[in-house]
Amino acid sequence: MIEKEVKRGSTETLILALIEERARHGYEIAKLIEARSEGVLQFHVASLYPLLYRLEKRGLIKGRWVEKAGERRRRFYSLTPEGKKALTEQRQTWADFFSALDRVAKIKPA
Amino acid sequence: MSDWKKYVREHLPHLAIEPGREMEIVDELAEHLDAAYRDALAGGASEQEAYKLAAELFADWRLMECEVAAAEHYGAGARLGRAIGEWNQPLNSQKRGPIMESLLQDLRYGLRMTLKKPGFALVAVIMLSLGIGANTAIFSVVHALMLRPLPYFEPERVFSVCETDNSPRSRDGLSTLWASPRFEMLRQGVPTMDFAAFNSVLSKLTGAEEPEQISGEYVSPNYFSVLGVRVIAGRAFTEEENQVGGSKVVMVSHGFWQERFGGAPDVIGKTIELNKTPHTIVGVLQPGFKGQRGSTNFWAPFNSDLQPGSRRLTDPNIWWFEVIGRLKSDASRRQAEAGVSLMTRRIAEKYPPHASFRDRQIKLVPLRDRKLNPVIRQSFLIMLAAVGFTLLIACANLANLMMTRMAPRRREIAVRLAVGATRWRIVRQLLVESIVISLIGGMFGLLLAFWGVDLLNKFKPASSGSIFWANYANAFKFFSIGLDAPVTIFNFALAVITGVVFGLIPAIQATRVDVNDALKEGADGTAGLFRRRLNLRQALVALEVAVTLTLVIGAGLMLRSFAEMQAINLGFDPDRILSFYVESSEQNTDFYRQLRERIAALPGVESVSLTIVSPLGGAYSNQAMQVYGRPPEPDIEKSRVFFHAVNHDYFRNLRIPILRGRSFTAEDRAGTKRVAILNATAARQFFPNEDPVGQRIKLGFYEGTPGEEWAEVVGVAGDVKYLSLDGEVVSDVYHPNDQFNEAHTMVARTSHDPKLLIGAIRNEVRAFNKDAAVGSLEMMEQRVSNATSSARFNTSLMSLFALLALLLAAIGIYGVIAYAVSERTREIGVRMALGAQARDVLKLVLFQGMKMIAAGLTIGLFGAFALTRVMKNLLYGVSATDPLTFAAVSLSLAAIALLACYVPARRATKVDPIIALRQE
Repeated sequence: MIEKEVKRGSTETLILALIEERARHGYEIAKLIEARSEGVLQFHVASLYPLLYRLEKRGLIKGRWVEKAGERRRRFYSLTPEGKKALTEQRQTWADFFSALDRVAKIKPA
Repeated sequence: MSDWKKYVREHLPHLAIEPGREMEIVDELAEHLDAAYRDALAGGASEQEAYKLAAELFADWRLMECEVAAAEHYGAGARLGRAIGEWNQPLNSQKRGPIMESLLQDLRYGLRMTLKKPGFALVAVIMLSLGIGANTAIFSVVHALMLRPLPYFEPERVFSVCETDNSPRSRDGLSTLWASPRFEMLRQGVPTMDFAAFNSVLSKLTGAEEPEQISGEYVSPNYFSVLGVRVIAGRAFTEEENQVGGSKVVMVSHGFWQERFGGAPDVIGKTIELNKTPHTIVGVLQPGFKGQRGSTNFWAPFNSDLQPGSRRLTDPNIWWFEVIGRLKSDASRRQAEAGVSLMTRRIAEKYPPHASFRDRQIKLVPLRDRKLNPVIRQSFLIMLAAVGFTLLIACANLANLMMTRMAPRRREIAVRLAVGATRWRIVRQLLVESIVISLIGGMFGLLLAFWGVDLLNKFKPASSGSIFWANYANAFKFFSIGLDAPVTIFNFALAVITGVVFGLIPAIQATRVDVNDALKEGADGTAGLFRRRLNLRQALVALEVAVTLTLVIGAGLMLRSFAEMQAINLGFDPDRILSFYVESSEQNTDFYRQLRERIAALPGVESVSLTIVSPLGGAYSNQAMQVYGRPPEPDIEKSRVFFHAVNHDYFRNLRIPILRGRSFTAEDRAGTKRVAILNATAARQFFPNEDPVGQRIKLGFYEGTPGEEWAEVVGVAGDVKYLSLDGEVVSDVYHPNDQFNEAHTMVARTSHDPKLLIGAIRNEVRAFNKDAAVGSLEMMEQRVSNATSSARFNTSLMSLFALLALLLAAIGIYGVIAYAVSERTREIGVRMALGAQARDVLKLVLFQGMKMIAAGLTIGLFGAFALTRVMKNLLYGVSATDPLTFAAVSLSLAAIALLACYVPARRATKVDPIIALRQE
């Protein structure tokens, strides 16, 4: 149960962090999470899109359809100013969380 | 190259969101699949393998749909969002208490869903407010009559002290009157109780412009402490004030104080004039206390009304007041009863009772039982059951409606279940919805009940001698009926219970979904569970039919009984008859004769007769009759006759037939030979095989009373209902009043509306003798109508509830069949396409309806058979299992039920197979 919630809570931060660099589409986000976490955080597409929609509803990210020549129409997500703020807060929360974990259980953030 | 959009569209169920948004989501997911597919191809997979790999990414479409729906929908989304968000703010959201918060959420959601379908809500609220309102109105009576404690201190320790009385005169088997010397023995002989005496009177409140009759009680000084009522101003009576001919003091009721003195604090010491004598007010009693009749305005010391040397205080055979007793604090009822039973014997030894009183026992009757006759109790319990049944039918209808309404919401429920809501949580949510509706119904119901109680009070049966010897009017007065706090609580508690009753089955049904099935079906698909639900609906309707049948049979029996009562042969013609008695201190034999002549001379009066008691006038004196040449009958009950003294034109005036012999004539007067006329019942009872005319009889209560002469029977008159409408006619013996001079009651037949003569008669009596008073001035037709008013009251209420039930049941049947037809449109279309005729379709649908109706009727017949027995005491001239009523009602109900099926069945035959088949 906790694992699931940690995963969910962290995924949100992950997504925000990934599109902080530049706007990305869903498939790319999924691929990046999988690649950068070396498969540990591979999670289901069924959770990815709902999470994106929810973040968009909360106004943290913004989706936009982009059509490039020779490519299919894709929806790119970028960070909104609220998203940026939320990401900073979440990073801080995670940092606090891990330092607390470290102090208690000697778990260092990677 | 696969069409991933089509793939997504095929696998992702409709999200029930804005279509444009849904298309975006489909596009985006398809894009993801396409990208995965291309990557796989680029990685060297075959088309088939790539397709498989991509498809596997989205294997769990159910989860996808739920999560997307949850993200897109506000309510469920908020829940999920919170679950995730909790990691960021772990403690804050717990503060309000999760249960309260989610209940509030349910409530808001319930209100929103209710407003979303205002049609359903409207129908539901109408049905519920009618049902709940009727229940509350009837419950207010039941509560006042049976549940609410009497407004006394420890009312369960107060008893009415009566004697058992098995004679036919006593309708409740009790005699309440006491004689002073006997009471004195009782008071001193039972140490475990305190006894108080009271005598109810009607007095004239004079002093104001218009004299007015008000009701009062002459009470022993301890009356208030025995009852346990408070004096809120001034004081109670002292022993000194209770002397014979003592001081003229009164206490008044709270209502009287408010009404006549505006609640002025200085009322103590003021005077009111009773029967032209000033009385000083010494105290005011607690609000709500209205004496033993329920309408008492003043109280005066018991003995203060008596004249010195009055025989009332010394004669053990003058029975004139009533007694109440309170158990002393350390005594039990059993101890008191033992003491009372001992005193029964002692008193009988000292003052030997009349032969016919020998079996009497002194009995302690709880005050409530004394005021609340078993017949009234029973009739209102039956009414309560009847309205309860009606509400139950409304619940069954609403449960059916709810189930229909649930069908399109099954996907919503499935999503919520999939997202992780527990079944209980959803049942609760749905229950909150039904309770919200039910509470709105309860609010309107309370308004209706307000109005209903008003109507009940207004149309309460008049007091009269009738099958309901129970005096409804007095009971209503004594236990003031109204909507008080407990009744209001009942109203809303009933609303909540009702909400649960009609909401629970649909809620359980709706959550018993296989999430997979529900999500796979089309948005409004219900095929999978259709059969099972329809069976449940049919069962509900069968229940409705059963309950309705029971109710309608009950009402039918009462209607038949009422018709029987209307058809009772009164034995006289009440048309345009006025009855009244004249009271006067004048003992002159000519007084009534002269007065009669004066009234007969009034314009508009056809004829006036004198009698001791007019028909349906209630109790009158009875005596033992002896037949000349036969030994005296030892059993007084077998020789009991009722005694009348009438003037000679009485029979002609009231149009009572003379069956044999002759009527009285002007020649039958004092000094001539004593004559008598028997009624048909007396003739049959005493002279079964002989001609009564020419026989000689003698009346006299005590065996061997000296001085009574033998009277010759000169005729036999038809039976007349004197005591009550529905009771057996007793043996009556008429004598010419000129030979007895005891008749103080007049019956006048008028040539037009008797109401117009009331004033003229009063004036004439006053003009004739200013001390004479007119009492009980009644129109005979009104009296006859009063005699059936309890029956009319019960029958009307019962019929009203039965009609309501019938209407609701018809709607219920119609609803279910209409629903079944709409669900089977396709099937019917196929059948018709394959050659079925309209007739076959009609048969198909009707058969479906008939099954449930037949089941309901069968159950209902058993139910009615078992339940109508409790009505036995409320019925006259018809058995509680009257086969005619049972058969007629069953057949009519079956006909109405079939009609309710027929309407939608007809519609089914109009199904166009082509349209029906195209529907899917």
